Amino acid sequence: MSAERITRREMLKRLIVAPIGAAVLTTLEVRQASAATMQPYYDPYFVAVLWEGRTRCDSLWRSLKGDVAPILPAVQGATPYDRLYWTGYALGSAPVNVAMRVWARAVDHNGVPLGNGWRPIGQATIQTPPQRWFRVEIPEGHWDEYRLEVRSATPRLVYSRVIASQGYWKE
Amino acid sequence: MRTVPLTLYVGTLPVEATPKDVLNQAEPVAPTFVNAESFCAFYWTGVKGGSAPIAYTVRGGNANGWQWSQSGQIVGNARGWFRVVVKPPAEYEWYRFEVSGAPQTLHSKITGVEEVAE
Repeated sequence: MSAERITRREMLKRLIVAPIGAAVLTTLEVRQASAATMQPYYDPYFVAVLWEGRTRCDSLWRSLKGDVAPILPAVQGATPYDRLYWTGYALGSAPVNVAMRVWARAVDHNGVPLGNGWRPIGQATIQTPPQRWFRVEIPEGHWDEYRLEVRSATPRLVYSRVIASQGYWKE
Repeated sequence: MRTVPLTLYVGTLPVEATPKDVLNQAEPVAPTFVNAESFCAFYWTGVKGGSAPIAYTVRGGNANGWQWSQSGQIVGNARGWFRVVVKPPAEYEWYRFEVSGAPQTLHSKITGVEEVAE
């Protein structure tokens, strides 16, 4: 037997690197390969949170911010982003049945919309059991402003977040 | 690499049967944008004034001539929004965004996206 003096830091390094490295290779091989494939296209630095908050849904089409004025955007400054995602959940114990629709528009250098109204991007109905998360993908990126509207026959409180990714999806 | 958007143009153009670019230049060799080789995509959004379709052609090239083009139609109702995505297959120094069609106004914006290193 031969003794070897090592520092505490070196000991921790050996303990951590050897067994966990082997375990990762044997159990997560597929996931690692998948991660390696995605790596060139994904950089979490370029994911931004554009909005987060609670929205009181009722029978009127309301923006995520709660207003019913169609002229107002829900998120602004979205020009750099390829894709937007809306995720969240509805509070309460009843099943969720919330309708949503998305509009977009472009603005000039002063922030004035190029025209009246909005371009319809899409609509969806979120039907989930209570307390479940939902996720809606908004594929048409690079518009300056978006208006996300929600409506529910049964009044609900929806807690949600809009995130945007840049450079991840190559359209 | 990260993508950076740049607003290249915002304006209003009277569309006519004669092809003109968005800067109202009728000369077919005149570029709309120069020094544009860094852009990998263009997002052309806006509002058309009438209901008639507008034919568009986007050309890419340089001082020696146009080498690539993409054509199509901008369709929609009067005062309706449109969006055209242009992804040239190569880097070009010059681009020309040209439209023609029944008389109407075209209020539009062109955003260029360039990929820059970290």
